[in-house]
Amino acid sequence: MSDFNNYGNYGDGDGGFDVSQNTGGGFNNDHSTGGNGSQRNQLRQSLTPVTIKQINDSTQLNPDGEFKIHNVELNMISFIGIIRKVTTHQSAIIMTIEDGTGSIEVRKWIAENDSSISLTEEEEKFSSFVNEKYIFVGGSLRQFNNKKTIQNAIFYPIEDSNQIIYHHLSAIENHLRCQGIPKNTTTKTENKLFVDNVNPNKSSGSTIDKVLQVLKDNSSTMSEGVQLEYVVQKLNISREDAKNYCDELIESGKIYTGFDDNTYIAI
Amino acid sequence: MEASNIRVDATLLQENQNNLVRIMGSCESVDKNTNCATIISNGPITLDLNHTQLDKQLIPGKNYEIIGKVSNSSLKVHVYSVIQLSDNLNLDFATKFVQYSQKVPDIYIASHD
Repeated sequence: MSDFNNYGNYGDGDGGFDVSQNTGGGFNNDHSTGGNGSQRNQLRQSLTPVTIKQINDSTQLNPDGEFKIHNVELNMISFIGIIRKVTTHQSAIIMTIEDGTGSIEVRKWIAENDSSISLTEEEEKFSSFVNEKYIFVGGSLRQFNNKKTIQNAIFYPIEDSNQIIYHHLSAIENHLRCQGIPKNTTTKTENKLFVDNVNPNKSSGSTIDKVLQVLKDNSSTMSEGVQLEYVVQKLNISREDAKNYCDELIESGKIYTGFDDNTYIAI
Repeated sequence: MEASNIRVDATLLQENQNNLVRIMGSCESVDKNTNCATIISNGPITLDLNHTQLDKQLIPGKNYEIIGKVSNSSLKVHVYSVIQLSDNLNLDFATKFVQYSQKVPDIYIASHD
């Protein structure tokens, strides 16, 4: 437990949270853990969309370090779900949120000295959402006493239900991205998950597609870009044609210029 | 995990008999006599509303998310919970979402299922 010295106040239960939040100490924790180890890289500070199952299944490799699940790093996370239960405890509202993949308890802390917001009003507000409304939760994932909690959580009700789908699709995309390129996956997919970049209006044998293919094939090995001359030689076309095709590909956003104007990098 | 259910649409009921499922769809009709309703989710699904005390009626034309259990033979869904969704919900996206969620069981479906 020595690793948790920074969290002296948190140790024995709920009261600890209280102190931290009321003094606005939340983000300071990130600074105080800076010296925690050389392995610690800069934490991802944007919200990672996840499902509650991912949160519950995730494991923490180092105390106070990042959580990981299926190669997805969880630090600042966001999830959505339906509030199934609301209770109050001291100066916090405790909500149980469920999204079909699992459930999690989150707390919204109400500062006692904050006159703009009262515990009862907030409890009434969130109680009215119980079994009625999806809410969005964002915050940083922490673990205390083997229980995962969301620190500095923000909550807001979802008014446009498309956001539910958007969130889940983002979570799927992020998950797949972390698994590497999902080509030839072992899942029994009949349809490909992603649409090919190739423009279906053009036959795959057209010269411009061949140019793009040459650039794609070689972009990974030629870090400064593929030379125009290389394309000319490879496809046995005139320099002028090659240049025109490359310009067209740049305009359509499929390639970029590399080290200079005569080198190209495909996305 | 007791709170988990599987996202499905009409095409996936057959393989989810006896399972707890979650369905997004648009209510097509409500039969107050039999306390059943039909919801469209990539095809029609019959909902049996007798197993829940709804304090509000389903309204045809509105979108809902249903949690319920698929019955064995008739593929009726015994509804346990209903959440109204916004009117602008794009059901094509909902269908796609169901298909994709089936492909990533790692983040959707409890491992013991």
